[in-house]
Amino acid sequence: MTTWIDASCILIVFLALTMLATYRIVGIIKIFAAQSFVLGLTPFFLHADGLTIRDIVIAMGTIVLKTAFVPFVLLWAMRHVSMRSEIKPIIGLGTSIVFGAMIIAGAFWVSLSLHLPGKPISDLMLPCSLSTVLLGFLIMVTRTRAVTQVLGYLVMENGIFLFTLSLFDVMPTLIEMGILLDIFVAVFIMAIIVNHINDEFERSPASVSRSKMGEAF
Amino acid sequence: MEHIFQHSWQVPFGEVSLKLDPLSLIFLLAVSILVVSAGLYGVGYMRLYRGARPVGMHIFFYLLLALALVVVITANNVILFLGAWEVMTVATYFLIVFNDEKAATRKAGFLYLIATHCGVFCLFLMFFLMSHISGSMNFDAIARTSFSPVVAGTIFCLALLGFGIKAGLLPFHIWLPHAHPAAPSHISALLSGVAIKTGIYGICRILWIMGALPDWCAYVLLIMGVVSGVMGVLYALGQHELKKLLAYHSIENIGIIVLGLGVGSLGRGHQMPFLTVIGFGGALLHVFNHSLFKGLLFLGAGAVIQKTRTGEMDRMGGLSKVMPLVSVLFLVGALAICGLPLFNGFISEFIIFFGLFQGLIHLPLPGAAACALGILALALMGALALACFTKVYGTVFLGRSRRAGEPVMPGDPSRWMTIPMLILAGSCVWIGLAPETMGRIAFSGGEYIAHLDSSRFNLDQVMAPLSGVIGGAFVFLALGSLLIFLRRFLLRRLSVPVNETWACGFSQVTPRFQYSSASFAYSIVNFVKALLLSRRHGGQLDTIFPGKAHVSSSVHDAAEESMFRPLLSRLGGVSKILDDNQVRHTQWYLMYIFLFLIFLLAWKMR
Repeated sequence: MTTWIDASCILIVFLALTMLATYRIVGIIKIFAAQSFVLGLTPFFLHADGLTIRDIVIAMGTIVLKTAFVPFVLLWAMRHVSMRSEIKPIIGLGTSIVFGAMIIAGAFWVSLSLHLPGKPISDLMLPCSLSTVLLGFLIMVTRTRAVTQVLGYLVMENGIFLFTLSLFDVMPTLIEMGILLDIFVAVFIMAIIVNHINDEFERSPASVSRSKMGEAF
Repeated sequence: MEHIFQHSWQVPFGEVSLKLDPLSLIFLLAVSILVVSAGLYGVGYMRLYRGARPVGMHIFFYLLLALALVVVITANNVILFLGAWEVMTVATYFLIVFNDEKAATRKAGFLYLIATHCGVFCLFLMFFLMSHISGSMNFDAIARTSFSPVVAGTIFCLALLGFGIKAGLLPFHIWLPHAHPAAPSHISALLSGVAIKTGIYGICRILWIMGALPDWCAYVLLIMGVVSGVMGVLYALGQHELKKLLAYHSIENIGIIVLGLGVGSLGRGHQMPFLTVIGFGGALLHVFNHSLFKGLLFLGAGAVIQKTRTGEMDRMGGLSKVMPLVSVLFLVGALAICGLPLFNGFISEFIIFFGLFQGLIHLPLPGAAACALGILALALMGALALACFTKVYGTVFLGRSRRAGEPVMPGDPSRWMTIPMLILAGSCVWIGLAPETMGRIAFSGGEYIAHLDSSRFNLDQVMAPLSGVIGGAFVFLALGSLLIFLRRFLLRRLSVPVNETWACGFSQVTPRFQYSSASFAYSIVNFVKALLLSRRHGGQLDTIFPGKAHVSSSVHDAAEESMFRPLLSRLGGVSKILDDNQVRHTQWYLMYIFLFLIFLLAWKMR
């Protein structure tokens, strides 16, 4: 079983890296769906001695939410809300990949000295989850459109989910909280669509945004 | 008497541990009475908004607040306490901003949120310091630990700051006069009656946990009480808006309560159990009494405001003829808050007075001097409160309506609104006439705070002179009634004509000639104007035949105007400088987080 988990871990990191190298937003969404599908399969490999109901529920929840629902809504939005289809990177794609590779190396190096409670299911789980989180973050930092911000957040969240899988049996409610995060993101996406946020989030002079944020003093 | 309910909880360091002890009992009683009566009142009060505003949300947060209040008061675990405290704060915020279409309300709510969270910050520090030293999150376990004087002093200061902000102690009270008028009236009643008392509860709990505090703490409590009390009532005198005035009276009464706690701590510092119990017991009884009469006053104010559609006292007048029942009930509340005999405010103030005199006689010099100061201040507060409520009752209920045009429809509000007020007024009179029951509960709370055995002192030492005074007041009342009756009897044959008041020869007299709330208080406010930042514009007549002239006067809060505003504007200036140097992309902020994350990971590798 560990082989399967290792394979899916590597696939998840690889897909995150691919996202970093993709130029069209529709492509990124599709890759994200694939990544989430791989992630959703992972709980099936967790217990060598047969499946529990919780494994199945978590796996199905992830697949339904992240492989079907979120990409579908995003693609629908791309088609109907006249969003532009290419990303607007701050740094070039090549540079992004170099940074991404450095981040993965760093994550592996860091996770050498991190020790998790309980018996590790797979040695790759921790460094891969760390890499995915950081790669998601990199997407958020270096891409400027609202949709790419959300996608970066989703990738980061996939990384968090992978991390919580490694604590599946130790910390009971952690994964369920992760699924709550998904629902939060879903609401987030709705807000983008409803408000037609196309380019970026708030980028006005500080004085203007302050008066919007609160009215005290 | 302690009842503990224990249950495990899936939160780190948390446990569901609720404890009912004599200290929580008295607060719990106040909460239950006020939550129920303010809730019933709210049913009537909110009718006006049904369909127009989100009343359902209001009810939800009301119930949430009620639950949080109960948990705050009975929590026996730090995490549970802080969690409930936070829920209470947030629920209160949503209740305050019910009328959020007004900018002033949104501002008041925001100020409340900021102020209380500054307080929560201090509480976090304090509780974590305590838990770190004692190694437990359970109040009982912390109470068994002994702290060094320096740590105890630090904890005391943090508690005073954190709980003082919530309680509205001067000078941390600035949110209070804004939030109370902004909220719907039954919420003001609940805020003033019990929500700010959770701050007092916190201070009491800390006094219980810490056991022996350094000597200076008692003096700090006493001085803070005196300052809050005197300044609170002086500010109240200068107000023109009914609910703002009542809010400042809450600050005054919090001052009286803290004064009582100071007396108790003085007694504990000097190993005088009698003084200790008198001080703490008096303070706790005043907590209960204040929630009754202040709740009553706010509910009365709500009825008045809903009737006249304004909070400005100078646009009211003559309401005792319009709403007779409310005016009588408001009078009961006013008499109680002034500390007049036959009502409950008198009982607790008398007990605190009694304690202060005990301290004056038995304590060594510094303590006796502090007690003498307390006696003077308490007497001053009583007199000023009397002046203030004479002004309120006179301007709002007596005389004639100051509004030109649109007359107010006569009639008391619906039963939903009057019955809760009747309950509260009834309780005020009940405690005023038969203080025994609540007195015992409050004193057992006082004994509990001081970790004393109840058999060691005799309550009758206080109750005997008290019943003497109540008896005397009865005789006085009977005498007065007799005189009134006699006058009626002798004048029954003569017809008494009703005429306009003679107005020094003016021919066109209007109701606006009556004393306004500002002119009534002018002599007192002017006397202490150096303390009050009282401002007056216009009103100067410089020609022989003057034309139209306007005069406006206002009293400004010194703590707000000369302490917090300059401080915050400087802080705002600094953050503006920092802010202007930023490139305003979301990505930059994200990158800061990203780099910090990487830094943390690298630091972990060290």
